[in-house]
Amino acid sequence: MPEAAIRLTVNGEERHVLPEPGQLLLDLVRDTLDLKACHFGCLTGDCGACTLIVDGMAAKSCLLLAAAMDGRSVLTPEGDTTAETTRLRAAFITHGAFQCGFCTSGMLMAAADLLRRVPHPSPDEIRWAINGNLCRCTGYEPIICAIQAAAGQQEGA
Amino acid sequence: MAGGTWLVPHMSRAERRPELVVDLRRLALREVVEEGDALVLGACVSYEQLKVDRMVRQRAPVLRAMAGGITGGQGITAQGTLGGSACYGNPSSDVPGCLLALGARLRLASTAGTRDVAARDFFEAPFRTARRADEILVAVVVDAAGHAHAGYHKLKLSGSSWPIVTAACCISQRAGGGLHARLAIGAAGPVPVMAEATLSSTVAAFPHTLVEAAVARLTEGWSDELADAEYRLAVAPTVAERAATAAWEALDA
Repeated sequence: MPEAAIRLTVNGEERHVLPEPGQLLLDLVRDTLDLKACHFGCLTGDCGACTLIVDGMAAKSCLLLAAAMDGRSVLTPEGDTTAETTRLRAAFITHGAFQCGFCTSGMLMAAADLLRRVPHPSPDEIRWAINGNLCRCTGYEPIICAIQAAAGQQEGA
Repeated sequence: MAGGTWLVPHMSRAERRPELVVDLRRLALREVVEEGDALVLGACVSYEQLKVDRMVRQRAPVLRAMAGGITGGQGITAQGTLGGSACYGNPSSDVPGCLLALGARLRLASTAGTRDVAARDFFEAPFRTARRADEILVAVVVDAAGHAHAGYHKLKLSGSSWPIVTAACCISQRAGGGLHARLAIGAAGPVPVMAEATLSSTVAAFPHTLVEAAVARLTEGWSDELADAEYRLAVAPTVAERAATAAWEALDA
């Protein structure tokens, strides 16, 4: 293993990679690991299209340096088979919660993160949880309905 | 680098090209502890922690109120840090004014030792602080007084905008009776400004003079792409008055 290599877990699999200086987690995931569901949006942390789950929490992969990921665990939309995300995917389809689809993978990651923390969120909590994910088509209402529907199917609803 | 929510985008846009980036994540600077009578917040405490921490709620509620208004989702609020925002020193941000209102001290460490700098001396100019290049901020220290009553108000142009003007007001009970109040205005000038007042009664009437004193310290406005200095100075008195009113309402409650 080269001196500057890091070891991280991606979708449950241990990976050894050698990040470029200044490389973002976003680029590591998309280019080095060829996982393209995480989208390249604003690179300023505003749009949320690159949201991934890092160490169990939603994180914007354009704000994380790849070199800082040693020992950490990353879940991308491709590998996220958790019950929350599975329900959310179905609810997004049922409610037509996407137009161009560019924000969808980030929305799913942020929404899944919410449902893991707050299984039965109020509409306000849903709005707050996705306030860092911009839908440029402005199709927010169906997205909120889909998240609410997915939450409604959770145990105890 | 603390959370990296400022530095990493700057690097992506090649506005900063550091030769070396030191990530502070593993330095255990995320604790909130009591040290004697003081509350010590690790420099890497996140906005998300400020929202839920019991000691912050009791002893520095202005930080909780401030953190509750930070947008950008978990990806920002769980990653952005109190200390990172302080060290960046962006006039148009939430943290600096709150630190002045709390009368906080910023604890800086280097191989030469550790020193504390009062918040009012820390912010020297836009994007420039008293932190030397060989120092890191390790903690924000809030002294004993018990700033149990706080008001925070900010004006912004849209839900996810950076603040145009912020105002933070903290009131503490004095040991010998009476009250001490600090009112800080941020984002309106190049550095935050603060006025304080000692009031003899515990049920003091709302001190308009405190608002006037804080506004009077705003001798220069701050302009950026969101708002010019003239606008900021024009709205600052109203924002300051609302924060002070909120703090006084907390006191009455």
